[in-house]
Amino acid sequence: MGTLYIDDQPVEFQPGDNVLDAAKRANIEVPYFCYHPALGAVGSCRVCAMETVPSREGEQPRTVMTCTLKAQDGMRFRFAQSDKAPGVSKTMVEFYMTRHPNDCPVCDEGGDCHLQNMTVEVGHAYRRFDGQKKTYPNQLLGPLVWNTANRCITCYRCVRFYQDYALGDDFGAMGSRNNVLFRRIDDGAFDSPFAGNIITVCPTGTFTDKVFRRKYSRTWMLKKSASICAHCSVGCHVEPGARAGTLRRVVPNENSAVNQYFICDRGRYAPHASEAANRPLQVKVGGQLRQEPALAVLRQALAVSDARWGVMGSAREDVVTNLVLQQLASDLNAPFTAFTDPLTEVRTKTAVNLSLSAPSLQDIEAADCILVVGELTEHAPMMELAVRQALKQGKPVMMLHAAASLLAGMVRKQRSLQAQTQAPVLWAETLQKLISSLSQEQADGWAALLKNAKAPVLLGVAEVMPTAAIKALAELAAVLGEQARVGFALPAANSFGAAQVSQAGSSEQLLEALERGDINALLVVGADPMSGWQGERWSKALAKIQHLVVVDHIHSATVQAATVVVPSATVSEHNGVFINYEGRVQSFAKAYSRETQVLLQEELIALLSGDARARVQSQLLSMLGSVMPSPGSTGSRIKPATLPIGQLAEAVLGNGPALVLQGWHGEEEVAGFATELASLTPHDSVGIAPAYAKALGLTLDKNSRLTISVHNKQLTLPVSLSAQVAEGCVAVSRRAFAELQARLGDEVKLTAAMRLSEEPAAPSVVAHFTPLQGDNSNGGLRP
Amino acid sequence: MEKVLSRNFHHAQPLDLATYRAGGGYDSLQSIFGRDREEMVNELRASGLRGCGGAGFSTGLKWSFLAKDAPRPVYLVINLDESEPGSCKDRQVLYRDPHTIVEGVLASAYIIGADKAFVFVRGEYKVGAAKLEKAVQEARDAGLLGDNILGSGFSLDIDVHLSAGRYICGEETALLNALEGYRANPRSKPPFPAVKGLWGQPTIVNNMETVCHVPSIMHKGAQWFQGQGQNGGSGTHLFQVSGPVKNPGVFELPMGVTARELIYDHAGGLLDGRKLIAFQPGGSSTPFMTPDQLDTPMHFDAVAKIGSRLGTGGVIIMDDTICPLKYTRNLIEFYARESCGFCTPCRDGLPYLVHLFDKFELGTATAADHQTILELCGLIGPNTHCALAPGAVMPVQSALQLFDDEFKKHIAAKGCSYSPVAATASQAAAGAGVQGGHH
Ligand SMILES: Cc1cc2nc3c(=O)[nH]c(=O)nc-3n(C[C@H](O)[C@H](O)[C@H](O)COP(=O)(O)O)c2cc1C
Ligand code: SF4
Ligand code: SF4
Ligand code: SF4
Ligand code: FES
Repeated sequence: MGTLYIDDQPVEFQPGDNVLDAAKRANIEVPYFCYHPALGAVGSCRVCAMETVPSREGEQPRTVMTCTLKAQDGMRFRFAQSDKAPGVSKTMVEFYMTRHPNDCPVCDEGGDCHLQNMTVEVGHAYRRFDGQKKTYPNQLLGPLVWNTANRCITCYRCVRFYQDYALGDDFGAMGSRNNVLFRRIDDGAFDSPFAGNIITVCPTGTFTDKVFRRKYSRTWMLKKSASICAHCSVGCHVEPGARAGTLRRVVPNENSAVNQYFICDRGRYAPHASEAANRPLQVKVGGQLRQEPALAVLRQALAVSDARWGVMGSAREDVVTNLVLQQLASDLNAPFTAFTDPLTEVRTKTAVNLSLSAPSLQDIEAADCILVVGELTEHAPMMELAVRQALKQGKPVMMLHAAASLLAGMVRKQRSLQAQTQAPVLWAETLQKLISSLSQEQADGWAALLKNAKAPVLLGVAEVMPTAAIKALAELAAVLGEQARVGFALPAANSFGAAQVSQAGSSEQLLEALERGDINALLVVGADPMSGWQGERWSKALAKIQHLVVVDHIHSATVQAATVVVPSATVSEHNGVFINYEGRVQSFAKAYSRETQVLLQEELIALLSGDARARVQSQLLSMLGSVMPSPGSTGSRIKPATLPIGQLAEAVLGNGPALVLQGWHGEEEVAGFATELASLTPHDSVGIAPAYAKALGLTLDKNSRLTISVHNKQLTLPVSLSAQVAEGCVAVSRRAFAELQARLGDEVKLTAAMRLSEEPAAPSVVAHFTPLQGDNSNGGLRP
Repeated sequence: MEKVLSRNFHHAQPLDLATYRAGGGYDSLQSIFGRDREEMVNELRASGLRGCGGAGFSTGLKWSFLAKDAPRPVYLVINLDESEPGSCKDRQVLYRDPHTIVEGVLASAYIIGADKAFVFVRGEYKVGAAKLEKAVQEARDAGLLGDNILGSGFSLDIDVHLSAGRYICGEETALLNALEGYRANPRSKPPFPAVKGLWGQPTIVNNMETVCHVPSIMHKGAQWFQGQGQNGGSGTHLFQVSGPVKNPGVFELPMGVTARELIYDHAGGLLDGRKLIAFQPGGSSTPFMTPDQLDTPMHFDAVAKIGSRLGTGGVIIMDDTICPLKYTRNLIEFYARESCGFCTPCRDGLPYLVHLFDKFELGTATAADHQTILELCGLIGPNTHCALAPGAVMPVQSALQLFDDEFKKHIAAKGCSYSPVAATASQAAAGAGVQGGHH
């Protein structure tokens, strides 16, 4: 703490502040471009000028850049009173305008543009430069981000985010002088899961949201709300923007306790699933579209006389919806679950029980040693971005994984030998060994790193971790002591909440009730059991029943099999509460209404009896406490009692190769329906480590194909040789799992199929972009 | 005066190690190894040796900034990027006597206690870099580099790094970024390299010529060095003269020799029929001096006193056949082209100045443009991230003062009277270099 003076006004500052930070906090409107609170200051724009007030005789006043000047007690500056500093800021903007195209009327950023605001603020109103403006080639960057190179003012924010903050290396500053361009070497989509943030940090219209661009609205005409991302368990704060009843864009909503300034590309683009052409927007009964109110149809459907009901909620629907469904089930005397897969239920609940002191993203960033188990990037991108912050500071990051992961590549690059591949069935044993070597006097390797750390963080991916491994990771944290924190990426946005709502073993019980014929009708809200890990079991069971009522907003396999389809609201279209992986209760607000008849999840309560409604209220109260966090606030964390879990057999070590999941960061149940994001889905392939293939007697190269046989199903796919796939494992996509009707850990048979020499190289995990229509028209902006 | 840096220039080929040693090469190490480091730094301060890379900062003082308990490793980085128009002195030593460099680096590294030295060589000096590399190898083979050199307990290796190019790589922090494999953008100072330099370690960056003076100062003493200078200067310096003179070249002369002696006695005076209009005393970023200032001693303080800078001591001559505006435009175009592109005033301000100068040549300039040049120079100079742009506008500001009437004449005559507009415009398009001063 200290005080400096700007125009004789005292301004308090915090330790570590630069002068600009202090001025901003005191609401002094200093213009700036290159400074960004998350990216710091580099002093490239030279706009944030103030004039020094000499403290000694003979000293001349100087203009200084406040963003790179550390605040010190007693410093004195002139800003508004200065007759020099405003001229500096104004001239810098004048310099920008010798190149900037002034195309605000046709620019997506227009009206919501830092450059525009600052140009007006510093008073550069008329151009005196009468030369030719330089123009620059735009670059095609895939389906998500649009580039208009002429608008760049070279503040370096984009590359500082992309390279310095997110550790990407396929985008950077190229060229020099007034010919610096921010580009990828080759055209095409970014490798980074966080690329969309360059749109957020760019203070101009150089990088804009390409999806938004195709259904553009001026941003002040958007209906916005404080919402929570529904696409993984991190629970990032987002601000959806809609107009005329359709979603146009999603941007991060700044907050201090969760994701701060950024979101991942899944969070930014998956919500566009709401605009998918095949989204259910009308009630459908027996295959016939009906013009009837959704709630009434649902009420009718539930009233059929011969039905013995079961009810399924969902970990991607909010807490209240699941509570209401649970009570509806009890009104209907029906079994209830919020999980589509017994194994996922067990793993989720085991992880939730052990997550009561899970680290926040800031805790992860500040960790001095991190152990990651499972492919974190592909399951909880922003949690992984927090890991990158520690990695960037040279903190040891260790990783145990079975399939290719972007984080593993980074860990390998920065610190050899600290990413280890291993089949998931062996993870528990490895962690146990780590625990026992901790107790040894001379701990070495990973054990030494963990033992010497002051704030170690252990992170696991619950969906792909056997329960024994989940427990072992938590035990490791316990052995390390108070300072260690363990947390898990859970399978869906509200997995934590869903775990609180369902009984032990609920999904297995529901499945068995269906299989036995105890129930002949199922209400499903926001879940797609037929595409999940038990897809094949559900499909068989559901084929037998008469009533399958599905409430959802995606055209899922289960929706397609339904007898009654009731369209529901997406997260941006209704109010609700999610509980994130840390047990943080966060509510989200509706941004807009669809103009068609979709059921708002909060309307479901109308189906309940009076008693049941009261029970929902009291359960909410006991679960979340009396104060519901307001949308946009980062809420508080609940510490629920230990959940009963039940027993379930898991895969054991077999003789043959085991199937593991090759995820990718844009993947999630709803995200698959977001056209642009889904177009980046990597081509299907079967990942196998070259050494393991050799050990199996398979001679493979990049043109080889492999046939996987599991149960009675077969699938032939191009091979992707990757040392990032564990020995004893073959890695395939969720789609391939579904097609094979296989489950995690299933033992498979591999046979080399015909090698196609003419075929292009088998695609790797990095996405290949097929240009969508419209890429050739750039609104006439190409120079 | 005794020649130091150019003492071996009369040989047709660079000397091999044996011949170099036979002439007293590396003898200086006897006066250095084993001697107290602080004492040597003090002696250096007393000698009056100042950085030859342009800024003229006291070398001894710079070295004293290195903390005694500085975290290891400590690096010595030699700046042999020499890309400023008008400067071509380091090149001579590199091509003609590379062992002098090795000896200078070794002596300096010992004094500052460096663990490793890098010589960052301008990309175009590829052949010279190979010669230096050869000398370094000879020194290694003879045990003059490597572990425990001559039993002194001191170990050093020298890494010769060929630059990937561009003038900005000569700015010391951009140079460090380039060495680390990053874009050659200058870094924010503080921290200064002596605190946080190459790979975050304490680093001393010096011009090649600077370190080459160190062995003889240590061998013969600060007083001897001072005595080498004239008129208040210390030591000798490799002066360079380029442009329309009879004998352009590099001359080792006492620091403080007058400009008149340098230009007329050593460089042979102007070509017949030419008249001296002005000259830049120390490379293309230094303000002009005029014929009435020819008796100024060429040392840092004397040149600073009359409002210019000694810089690298690379004199560029402007005669009466070239339009002063065209000359200045060429300079500014060079700097606009060599801007690293990091900060706004340099990246976008210098091309703006080029545009305004073009208007003078094309005859479209107005009095307002004249005023704008003046105004922009004042806003660019003090507000950039590094010293490139201030160096770019200094000669422009000086031209505005000296050639005020020329600017006005160009406005009134709607163009340049030195050459027809068409030729000028096409030359402008081809980016003609500064006369005599571009490499
Ligand atoms: C744009 C720019 C270019 C420079 N180029 C060189 C160069 O080529 N060689 C050099 O020795 N110093 C150059 N310098 C000066 C260096 O930054 C630095 O001051 C010098 O190497 C320090 O060495 P000295 O103290 O021995 O002079 C340049 C400075 C600037 C701003
Ligand atoms: S593209 Fe945007 S963020 Fe990147 S340097 Fe240009 S203006 Fe700044
Ligand atoms: S990390 Fe998860 S919650 Fe955050 S934006 Fe990405 S998908 Fe959404
Ligand atoms: S002054 Fe020029 S060279 Fe120096 S940092 Fe700025 S743009 Fe780069
Ligand atoms: S904000 Fe200070 S220089 Fe850009």
